Amino acid sequence: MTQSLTIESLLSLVHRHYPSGLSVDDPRHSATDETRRLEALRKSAVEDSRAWEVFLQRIQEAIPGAGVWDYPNIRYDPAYSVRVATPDSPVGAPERKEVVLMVSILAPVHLLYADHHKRSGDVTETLTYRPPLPGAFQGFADTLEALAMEAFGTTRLSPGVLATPVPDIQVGKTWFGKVTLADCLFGDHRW
Amino acid sequence: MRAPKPWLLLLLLMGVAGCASGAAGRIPPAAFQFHEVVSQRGAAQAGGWKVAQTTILLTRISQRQPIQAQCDVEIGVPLVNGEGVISTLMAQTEAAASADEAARFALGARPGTSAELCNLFRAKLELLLALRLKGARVRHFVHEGVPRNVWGGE
Repeated sequence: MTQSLTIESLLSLVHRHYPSGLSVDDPRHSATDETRRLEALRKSAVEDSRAWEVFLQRIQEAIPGAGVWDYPNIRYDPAYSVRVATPDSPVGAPERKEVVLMVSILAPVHLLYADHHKRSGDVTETLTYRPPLPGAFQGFADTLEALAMEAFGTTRLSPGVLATPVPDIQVGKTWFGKVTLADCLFGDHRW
Repeated sequence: MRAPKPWLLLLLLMGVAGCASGAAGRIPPAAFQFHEVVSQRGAAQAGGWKVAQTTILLTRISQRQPIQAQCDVEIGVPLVNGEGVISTLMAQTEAAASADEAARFALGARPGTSAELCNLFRAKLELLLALRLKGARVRHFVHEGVPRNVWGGE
């Protein structure tokens, strides 16, 4: 798929899939052409997720011992999402390093962030990083990102493009005036 | 933590002379009936998904700024997260406790419209619930064919 990834083209794209000026609680929201278009795409991606399943399998083959959590983000928003724990982060370990990858179905783009959990007694501290990631995550995240590029032909947008405001649209629980291109392309939920 | 009085947990009284406002009622765990929509597959460490769909009536009784909203709330939780199995009882209990706190917050924030009130309520509910149950999320109704409950409208 060849698609222009300029800010202008991405803004045009998201305005074809989200109605302007209507909140999700507005009864007119679900009947708009934009919402119908987005929902048709999203439901199709839920029903036919073979490429995503193959990708998850590929992660497990390429990174033995990695903990893979397939998160059903696509059931809510226009992006698949997976959380992958590094092989040295078994369940229950006091320190756990994970990378979350999201792959949009609206444009050939993906998004990455990393969580570093440190548990002490009953308290777990989590530090979240966005690219450029710290060295402890870099090689692992690079491998994961390369797998995504190979499987979906996606690219990672710059932080500046992701943060582009889309003030006339409401996405998920993010209110008018606070929505960004990242929210529109991947949904506003980070987990 | 002090035990709440049943059905009066959301009582808010504003200390404004000549103006009392309040919201009453505790949301019970049974208001959230979870239904599995994604099964847990293979030996994955975490996964699966179950949702509860509930319409919750939020009311602020106030002489100056009364507001009422019927908020459609879909709560989704993993069957297994990085910390273990999330039982239905656990999901219901944590959802109810989070919903109580979120309702107090949203009503106290004095939003101007019912849509803003519902949005605030869902956002706070998700924030609180995800702290208790990793991976949990809250939206308006999304999944189709899930039995729906109503709380607070009687």
